[in-house]
Amino acid sequence: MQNERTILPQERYRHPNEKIFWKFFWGTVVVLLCITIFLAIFRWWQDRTEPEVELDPTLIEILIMEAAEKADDSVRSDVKLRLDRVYAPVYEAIPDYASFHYSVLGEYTELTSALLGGMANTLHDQLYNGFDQRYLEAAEKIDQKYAEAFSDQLAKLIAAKTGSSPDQTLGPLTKTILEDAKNRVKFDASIVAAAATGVGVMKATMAVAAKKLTTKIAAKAVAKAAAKGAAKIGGAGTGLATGTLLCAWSGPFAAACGVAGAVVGWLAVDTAVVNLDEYFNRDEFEADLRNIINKDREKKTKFLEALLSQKSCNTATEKNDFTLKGVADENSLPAKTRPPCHAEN
Amino acid sequence: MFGAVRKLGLAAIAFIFPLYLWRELYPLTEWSVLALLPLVAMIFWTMQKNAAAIYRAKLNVALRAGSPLSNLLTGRLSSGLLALGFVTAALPVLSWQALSSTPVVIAGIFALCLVAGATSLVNQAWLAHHLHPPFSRTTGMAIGTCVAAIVFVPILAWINWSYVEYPGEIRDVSFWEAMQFGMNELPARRGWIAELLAVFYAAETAKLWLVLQYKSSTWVMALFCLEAALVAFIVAKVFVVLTEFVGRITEKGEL
Repeated sequence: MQNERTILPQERYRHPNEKIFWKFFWGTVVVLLCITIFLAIFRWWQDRTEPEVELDPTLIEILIMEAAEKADDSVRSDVKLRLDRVYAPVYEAIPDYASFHYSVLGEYTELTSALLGGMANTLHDQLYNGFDQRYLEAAEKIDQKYAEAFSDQLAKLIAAKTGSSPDQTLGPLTKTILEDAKNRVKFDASIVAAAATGVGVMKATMAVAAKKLTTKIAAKAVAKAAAKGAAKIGGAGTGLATGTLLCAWSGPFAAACGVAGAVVGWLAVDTAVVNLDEYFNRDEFEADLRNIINKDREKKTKFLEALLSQKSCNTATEKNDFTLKGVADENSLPAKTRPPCHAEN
Repeated sequence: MFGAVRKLGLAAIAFIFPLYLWRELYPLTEWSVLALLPLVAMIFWTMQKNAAAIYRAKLNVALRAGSPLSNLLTGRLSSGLLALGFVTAALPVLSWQALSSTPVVIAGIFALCLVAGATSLVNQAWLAHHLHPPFSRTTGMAIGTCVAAIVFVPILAWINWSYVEYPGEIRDVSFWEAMQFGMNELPARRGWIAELLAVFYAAETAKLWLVLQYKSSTWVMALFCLEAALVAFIVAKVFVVLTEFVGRITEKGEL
């Protein structure tokens, strides 16, 4: 290369610091080499001192299935407890909603909502305020608790079979299968994800509940209107007549004064009727609401329990790693039947 | 011949050691990033030297003798920026590949490196008869990189297609869960390196998830493999640069 013609001046000049640079450069290489050798020896020593045990794949499968079942059992009771907490504010909101329902303002708000078709929203806002978030948080907790329970149960079962901790003595193949199972617990049949989809279903349930309530409110409103009609007309008429008499001195304003009297009379009678209605029917109304919410809670409990079963089943079913070539080959084969996990639920 | 083999051997050591250390130490500590520093230094220094030499050669032709501009237009800044840009782009890709590649892919990449280095040296030797340095060097490097990468892209794509195994869980999860699943490969301690690498892991898993949604089309899956194999260009370039680095430090007169 030195004999080559060049259009550049020869780059033979060397900076004094270059020597230092090379010393440090090669020094670093030597240090890295030493660390690599040390790591290699350390690993070899570890392998030598701690003989690894590979468990029989069938045994691992059985252990995973047992751990999944036990985790399912331990978390199942938790579902009801968590939903109790999720629904507690809903039940607590019933008396407040009943008070609102048995007020003049509530009566007219509900009538307007029923007329405009926004009853579900009114009901949701008043009773199920913050429910979605609480419900999804509960689902997330159930997911986490299942993962923890599964890991604990698996560790216990393996320790019982091998008499040791799974992290120290198990061979790489066994560890990989176990890690895969743990990953399945984390990512397969996520309860949160399914519950999030279920929120839409829940809103549909709310709409059904609201529809029932709307029917009741409408029926009550008609009955009340019929019952109150005569009294109200009388009250308003009395109000108007009394108003007109009392306002007679006001000359040209007597008519307006009379209208105000009628409104006051109407509302006074309305308040009296609403209070009477509350006295006789409030307990029944609250019981009806409680019934609707109970049914909703039952549905949610069953839904979450079904998700848990699905998760447990998916955990116990090994998902084999795949290559894209394998996927392409699958395409040319006839479609498989659905796995048993889906058939069960 | 022996000189070329020695260069390739030393370049292989300079390439493998830092990446091996990084791969082994990253699950344990964030300090593992220090293992990559020598690699960064070697790539940056060589790239900067090469870019500066080309710049000066062009300037030598373009600038009149005695022009005061020669003091200003040294090429240090532009060559430094060029080298920095390459290192910034190549290092995350290399470090991610080192962490995530399976042994069979690593074997393929190693073969690519050797072919790229050898092709580059052969080209440089041949071009030395036709071009002036530093053009003979840099052109030889560029041709070596491209030829090796073009040859190895289909090979790596085939390896990805036939031998790289993906976790079965990804077939049944949602898009966001797939991304989370990919990021789950990173150590639980997280940290700034993990945040950087998470982008690669998440993107790779997201791509795989999308591909699996169109699994009825073999072409989509083949494209995924081909895209994954494009890393061959970066790896080949880095190895050729390291071969050049070894050449520069072993043939001291050429510095």
